[in-house]
Amino acid sequence: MESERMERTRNFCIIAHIDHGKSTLADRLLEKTGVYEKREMVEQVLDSMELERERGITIKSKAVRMDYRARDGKTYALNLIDTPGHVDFTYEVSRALAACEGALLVVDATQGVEAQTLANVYMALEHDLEILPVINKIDLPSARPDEVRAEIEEVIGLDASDAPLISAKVGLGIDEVLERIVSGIPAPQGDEDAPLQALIFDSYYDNYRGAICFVRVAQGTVRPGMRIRMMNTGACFDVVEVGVRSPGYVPTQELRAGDVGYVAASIKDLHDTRVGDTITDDANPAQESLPGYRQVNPMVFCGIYPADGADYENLKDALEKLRLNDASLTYDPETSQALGFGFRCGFLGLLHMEIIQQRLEREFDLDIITTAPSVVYRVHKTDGTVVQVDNPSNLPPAGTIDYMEEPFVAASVHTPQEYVGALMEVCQNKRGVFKDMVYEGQRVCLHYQMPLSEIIFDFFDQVKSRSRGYASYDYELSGYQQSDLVKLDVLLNGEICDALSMIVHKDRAYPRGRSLAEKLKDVIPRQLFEIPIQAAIGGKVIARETVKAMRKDVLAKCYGGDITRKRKLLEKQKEGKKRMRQLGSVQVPSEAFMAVLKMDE
Amino acid sequence: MDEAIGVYIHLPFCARKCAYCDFTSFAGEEARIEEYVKTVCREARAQAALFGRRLVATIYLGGGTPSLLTGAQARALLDALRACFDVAPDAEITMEANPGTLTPAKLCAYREAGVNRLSLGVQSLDDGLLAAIGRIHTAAQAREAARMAREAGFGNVNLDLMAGLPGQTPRLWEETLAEAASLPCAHLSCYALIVEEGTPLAARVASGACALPDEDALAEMDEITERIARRAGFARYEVSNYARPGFACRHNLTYWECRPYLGLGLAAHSDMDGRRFYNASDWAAYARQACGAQPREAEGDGSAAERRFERLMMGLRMLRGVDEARFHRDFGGAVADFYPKTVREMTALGMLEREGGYMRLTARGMQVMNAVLVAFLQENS
Repeated sequence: MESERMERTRNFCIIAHIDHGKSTLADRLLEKTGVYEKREMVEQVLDSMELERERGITIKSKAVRMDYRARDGKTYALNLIDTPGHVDFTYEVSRALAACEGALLVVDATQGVEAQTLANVYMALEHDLEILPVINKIDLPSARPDEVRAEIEEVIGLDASDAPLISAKVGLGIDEVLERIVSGIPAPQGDEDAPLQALIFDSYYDNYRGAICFVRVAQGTVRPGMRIRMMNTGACFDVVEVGVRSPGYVPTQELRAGDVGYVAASIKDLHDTRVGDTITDDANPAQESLPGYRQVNPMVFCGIYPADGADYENLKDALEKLRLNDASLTYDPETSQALGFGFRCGFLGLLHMEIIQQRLEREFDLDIITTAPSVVYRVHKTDGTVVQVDNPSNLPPAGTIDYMEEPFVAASVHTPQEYVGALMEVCQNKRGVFKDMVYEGQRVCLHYQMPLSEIIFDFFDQVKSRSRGYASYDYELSGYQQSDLVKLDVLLNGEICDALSMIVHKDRAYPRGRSLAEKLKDVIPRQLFEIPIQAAIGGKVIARETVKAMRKDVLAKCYGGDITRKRKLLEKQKEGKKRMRQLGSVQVPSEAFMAVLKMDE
Repeated sequence: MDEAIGVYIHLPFCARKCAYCDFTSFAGEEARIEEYVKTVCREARAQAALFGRRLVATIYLGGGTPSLLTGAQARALLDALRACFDVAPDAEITMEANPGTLTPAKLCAYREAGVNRLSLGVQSLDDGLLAAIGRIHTAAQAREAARMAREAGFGNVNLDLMAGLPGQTPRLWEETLAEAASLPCAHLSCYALIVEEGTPLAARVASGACALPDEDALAEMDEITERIARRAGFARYEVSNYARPGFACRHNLTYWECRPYLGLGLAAHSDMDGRRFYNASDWAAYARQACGAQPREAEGDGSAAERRFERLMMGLRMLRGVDEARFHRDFGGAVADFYPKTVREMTALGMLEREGGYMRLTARGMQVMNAVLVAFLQENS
């Protein structure tokens, strides 16, 4: 039974290839519906984190409510749910899509359908969303809307005959889009009197109100005073406030079936508000939780150390603050002989890792050293026990290991046909096992079974460079498989540097050892004496490079008037050395610890 | 009794600025020379009144291009100094000269004024390189200048040479040096080029318009310098300086030993009785300072730790090294008392050694002196 309220509600998201104008369109919709006054508009409101804007990606999803008076004279509540745009956050995207009935598909009128467009469309179709194509950037001279319209029909198989032709940048055709949302996207359904089921698709930590859940109510009603239960974790809380964001927090009396909004319940720990969990009424619980819940575990780990040991406490505080707002970040104290006291941190993926590193540096003004990322290996010991190893230095002695397993992923690479050969080569070089190849019109989707550890190295860069940016990929963890793995150590001036050790496949050890030694040779500056760099497996050296001794470093001239200036020059040189780590007798710049990431084999 | 001092007089006039030069010096201001000389003489008298009639062991006319002065102007300056200071009878009096500005008559006049050491800015004996760095003279003029200096009776001539110029190969350097060493001179200054910020050369290097020799090529040039200079009878006594026995530049040793010096003229720096100060680098402000109407800028006299470090920074430039007894007397402890770790490690690495009451850099330590000095700074600063 559909209520008048639900009849006038639309829940949708915007999907697009990067740079096709998703955020700009979102801004125009918010502006047009008066959520933001034009002059108050910060450009691209949804991507509010500085980092997100810089990279043109959305990291966390949010929801904004717009009131739109349509041409039929009725006022509709349009809930725009923004979705993260990166493969590290695939799960979060799937939960956001599950909260919608439809999606606007933005396609650039100059670029046409791109690989990411397809990947997004398929994901939206999986969630049974109504997809409305929108052709953007028609103000550009190189726009070819008719061709792109045909492309959408041919390649994706969507009817694009009434796709609005718009320019989000100059604000052209925005009304058309709003009308299409009203007419093309189905109204939500759900029994508002049934036991409560509300899907958490995002959560956020507010310093004053604690963890706040963004929810889509599937059935039932949630209101302040109600005792709610998180169906998957079992935790219970008393609702303090419910409401919608538009753009600030606007409290409402209740959220009913079909509504999108927020729930605040004095939740102290963000980890109690897991994305994908279902909120129900503790007094009158639903029979079952909504489908698709998954506990998200970090997949990539690295060590983060303060460049200056005195900053350890500050680093700890910063990580604690970041974790308040990021349930998928984990950290535990660890020590390295080379780097001292620091933390082993866990991330969803490489981008997530980079974001955290940059936030530590920018928002907390910390100078940090990051070690090479690692996945979690399962080590089966000869005594029958199994240990999980996320730090190569903790690998048990070779003699005690029966066999090891590493995580594998099912990877899908979407690409135009002409790059298939090159990309298959990339996947094979990454130890990928070919599964199948699916034609999607002009496009191809390659499916591979691949070790996660290979993906976290330079897979992204390689896929992009070998396809001139046209291909994209996503992956999901498919389980652990036995692998022939070895620990690769690096010796500087004869001493093992624990922070540079890594676990690699036996067949990769030789090229990787050689490339690592070469890379280190380039980043370690010449010092007073010659420094041998060795890569070794067990006791066996497999690659060797040498940083030659510094030959000349002297100020040619120094006379009376120069003394102060020259002293200051040397003091500056001394300051520069603070970014170096003293490993035994060798000074190693902090970049060296990340060098492993940028290897060409 | 007060320590003898060195007097430096800055003459900031040039026919043209060279591409690598960041000294305070101006082209096209020759009309000011006459007035400027008078101002410097006035400054000398004012400073003598302040610091007393000190014993002056060395005088150095530097620039700029001091050889743009006439004989009479040079004489006026030196007479002024002799009038208000106790210039030692055996004082070393050096004048820098550009080979493109000299005549036999001018040289005789300088000698008669009291100049007894001439430092010729030869830089290179390759016409292509000379033009590239903006010198106003040719190699032939440089050769001729050295010959003229000898004819004029200068027995103590230095040739300034530059290694590591853009496009210079170790072979080209060897040719210049070998020929320079055969010219009539008693001293060679062989400077590795320093690309100073803000110079036309720095802009050319940054834009990629010219390429500098790399570290290995520079190190090779160093070895060439050592070898050629030694064979020709010049011994190295400082990072960049080579002399025949008895011809080390006494004025410059004043700096390296951290002894007092008085700087006169535009932008000149002084270190007198533990106080450091310097003159303004614009004409009007300097003129006011010279007559006492405006105070000089204090440079910062240096904390004990800074002075201690500077003693090493300057002293280790000399092959002989730092006088340990004097260090102990001035700072109340031995070098190893202040820098135990660095002395121990650098000695173990073969960078530092002690002999005959001096602490000095080894030949290897001399090549990488900055790294050694930074280690001292890191331990105690």
